[in-house]
Amino acid sequence: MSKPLLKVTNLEKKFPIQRGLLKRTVGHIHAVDGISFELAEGETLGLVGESGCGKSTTARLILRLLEPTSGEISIAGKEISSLSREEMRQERRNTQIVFQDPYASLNPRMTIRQIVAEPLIVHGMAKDDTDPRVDEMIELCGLSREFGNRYPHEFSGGQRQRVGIARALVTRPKLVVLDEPVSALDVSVQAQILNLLDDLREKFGFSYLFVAHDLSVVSHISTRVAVMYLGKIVEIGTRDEIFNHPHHPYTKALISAVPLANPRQEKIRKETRIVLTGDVPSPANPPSGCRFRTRCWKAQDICSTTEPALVQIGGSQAACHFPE
Amino acid sequence: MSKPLLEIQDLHVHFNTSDGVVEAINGATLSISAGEVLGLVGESGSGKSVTAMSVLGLVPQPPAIYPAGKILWKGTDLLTTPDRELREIRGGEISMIFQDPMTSLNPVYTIGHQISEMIRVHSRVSAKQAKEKSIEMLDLVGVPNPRQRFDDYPHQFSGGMRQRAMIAMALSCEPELLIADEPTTALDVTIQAQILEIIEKSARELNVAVLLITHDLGVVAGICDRVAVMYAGRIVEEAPVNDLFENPLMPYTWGLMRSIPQMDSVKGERLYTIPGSPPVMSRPPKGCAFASRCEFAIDKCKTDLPEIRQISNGRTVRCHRVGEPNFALSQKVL
Amino acid sequence: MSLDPALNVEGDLPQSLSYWQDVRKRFFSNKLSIVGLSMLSFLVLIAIVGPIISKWSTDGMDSHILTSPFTFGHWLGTDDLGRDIFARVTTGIRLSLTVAIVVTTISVFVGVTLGGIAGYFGGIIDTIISRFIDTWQVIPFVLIGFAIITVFGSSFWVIVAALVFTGWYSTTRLFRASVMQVKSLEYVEAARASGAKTSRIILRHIGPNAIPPIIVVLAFTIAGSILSESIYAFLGVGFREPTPSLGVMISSSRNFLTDHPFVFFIPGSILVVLTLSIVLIGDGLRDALDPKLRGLK
Repeated sequence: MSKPLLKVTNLEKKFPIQRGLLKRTVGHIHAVDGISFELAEGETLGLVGESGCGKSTTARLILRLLEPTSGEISIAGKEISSLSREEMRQERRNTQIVFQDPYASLNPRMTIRQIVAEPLIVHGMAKDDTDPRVDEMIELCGLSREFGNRYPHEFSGGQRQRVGIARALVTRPKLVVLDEPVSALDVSVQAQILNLLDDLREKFGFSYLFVAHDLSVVSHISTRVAVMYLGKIVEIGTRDEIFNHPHHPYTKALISAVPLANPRQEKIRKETRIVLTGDVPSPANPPSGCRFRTRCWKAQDICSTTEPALVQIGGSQAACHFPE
Repeated sequence: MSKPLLEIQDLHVHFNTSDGVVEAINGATLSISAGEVLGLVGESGSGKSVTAMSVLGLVPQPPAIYPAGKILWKGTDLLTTPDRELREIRGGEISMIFQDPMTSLNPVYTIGHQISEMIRVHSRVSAKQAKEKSIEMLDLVGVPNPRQRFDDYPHQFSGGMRQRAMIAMALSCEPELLIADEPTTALDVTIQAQILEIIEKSARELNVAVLLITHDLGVVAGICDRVAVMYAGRIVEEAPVNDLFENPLMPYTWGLMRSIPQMDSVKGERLYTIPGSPPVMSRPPKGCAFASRCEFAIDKCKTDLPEIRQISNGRTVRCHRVGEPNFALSQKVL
Repeated sequence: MSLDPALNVEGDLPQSLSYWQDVRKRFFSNKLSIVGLSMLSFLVLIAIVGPIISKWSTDGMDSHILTSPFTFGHWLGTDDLGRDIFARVTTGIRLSLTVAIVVTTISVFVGVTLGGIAGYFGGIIDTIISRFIDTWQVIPFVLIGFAIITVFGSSFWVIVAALVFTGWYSTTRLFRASVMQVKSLEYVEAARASGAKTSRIILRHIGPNAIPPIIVVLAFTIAGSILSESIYAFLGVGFREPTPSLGVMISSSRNFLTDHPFVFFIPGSILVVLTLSIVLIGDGLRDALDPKLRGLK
């Protein structure tokens, strides 16, 4: 693997639970609980998990939109978790984010051209010089430059998401965090956006951290995949290894739960489907030992006493006492 | 095939808005037989939810108007049924579950109270019998310890459990038709698997017909007998589930299937994309609504609206080109 | 060149409107707000030109007392002291509007500053400001007004102060909520992620989007202040004779209401029409500014 662009070490985020008039802290939600991973240049790492697993929090921690409780984040060899406010602000041209909701993520009072120009302007480019860069990016994202003077509410969800992507990429960042970028879109539009993201990566060599709950989408776009459960990475490896030979029971269950658009295969899959019982436990009070043990069909005594570490198994790393 | 339970005939639903008339549904025809699981698939704005809401008389009029069409429930037109009788049918013979169970559960009553209430509104039983029946229903949909959870409030249930409670409530009056509008869209994939299994199992067990509305073709493939595909307010293709997925006829269906990323595909394959976006329903196109996005469209498609045609037993399609000699969609999907 | 041919918008898009153009269009297409605006314009017009074209002064007394309208050269008659009602009423509109606008300006200024700080920074600052407002709110406002005016007399600024005391916290609370709501939206996070400075985030991204609810409150605060001013005067704790305020005129006409109703009826109906016109404008603004109704097809 080439030199990592992003290196996350023991990243942790606790949100205090506050009660009462004086906002007394009565406990913590351990949203991200000591995760480590690397992302190589030009690579797309898919971060998957169910709601509440901490994947979106991780995305925001890496961009320091949230302050980590502890841990290190280095981007292109630069440790960013200790940067001052102003240094971090400067650094932001190298890291950008595309949000899930194409309706909430664009300022309704700004035109498309103003929205896309904003990152250039805040990094010191004179307003008059931005137009060619902005128009180029708008067109690369599949919108006509004539749309530049229009307002977000005049566009469909898919078109807005293109604007969001143009805004994120206009500064030519090294790392782009995509937080559920297609989950609010219709299937036919989703395919357009996924292809667009592929094309832009090929053209500019961006590295993507792709956060999503949809495994089919993640399998399509990622080169490597990390699976999160209750604030922990339970398995991380290449895309093929994760999808063809999952080692962690949770990964296996997750993949088997995805309905395939193929009725004959589905009939067969249904017989062998691992339907997990119960719900995800509360992150305020996670189970001892292995966090997945309360829903795991393989759980034994050791699972409740000892937390499994991520170890190399086959082509990936999994955190399980009884890997497949 | 037995006589259909529900028959939607050439339904039109328009909405009067400040910017003109939005033609949300423009001739939808659909039927469900007893005990059948029918999937209604479409993208947002295709009119699939409005269709379902129309069946239950839940579309507010105004702004909605029904310029044409019938919704026949065992032969009587629901569109002309007086409200009082419609209430009897709604929740009794036809019940519905929604995407977000929290909006349809009352937060100030216990789950058990709400289910029992539902039972007692539609059948003459004692409070005790209703309670027993509710517990039985909660058990059927897989709520653990139903007797204890009977007294819980909705906020004490997780998302998946709430959806189970909704299903229990919907099935408690022994309906003949269950309309499920995106029942798993708000849920995680592992929970979705549980819920789909429950819907299918309990519907088959109680011999309830299901109209499953979803945008997810995967969900449809798993549990439906037949599928209807909706586009821009019309049903464009209808077929038994295996036929539809193995041999889609309408170019829209075909394109939709090819644009879904598949977990077992080879890395690096580009997805097929349907160009453009769906038409704006306040200015619907003249011919086939899909013509402007269709790579097989000919001049006729842009000017003449295709009629629904029967292709083979149980397969209908609304497309000029299907059936032409030498016309084939360029690649098989599966 | 576009990498993806997928995007071709069919047909002509309607003409592109900025937010404020759209608001203007929606405001002026609302019949009730046009009615409100016309009524207010008319009242403002006679308030401006009335005292100029009237040959009577506001406190000059005529020997004809309590005359009916259109007699002895008095367009709207005279009151019990023989003062010209037209001159007094038009000056009264001026006074009421001036008080209301000054009160509202100060309330909105305080509200935007305090509410903005509380909403944007949150935490302990927000807790202090919010608890202060809670405490302030339970103090009975009419009594405070009584106290202030009893101590300092009933001059213009004392009455303004009394009204601001009872009005500032609702604008503060509203703007705080508005800022908090906008602050949590993704486009603000996007601005932060792209490296915008705090000042730019506040001025360019939060401010313009948090302002609309304040504009609506502006209208209702003006209407409320006009009413409160009159009520104060009526209760004897606001302006007093001989100041020509609408409230004072209504209050003084009580004694001969049955025999000479027009002395009461004229300032009374003007008060109602004035308040109603502003409320109608406020309603129209609320509908025009509501983002949920925007671009509704």
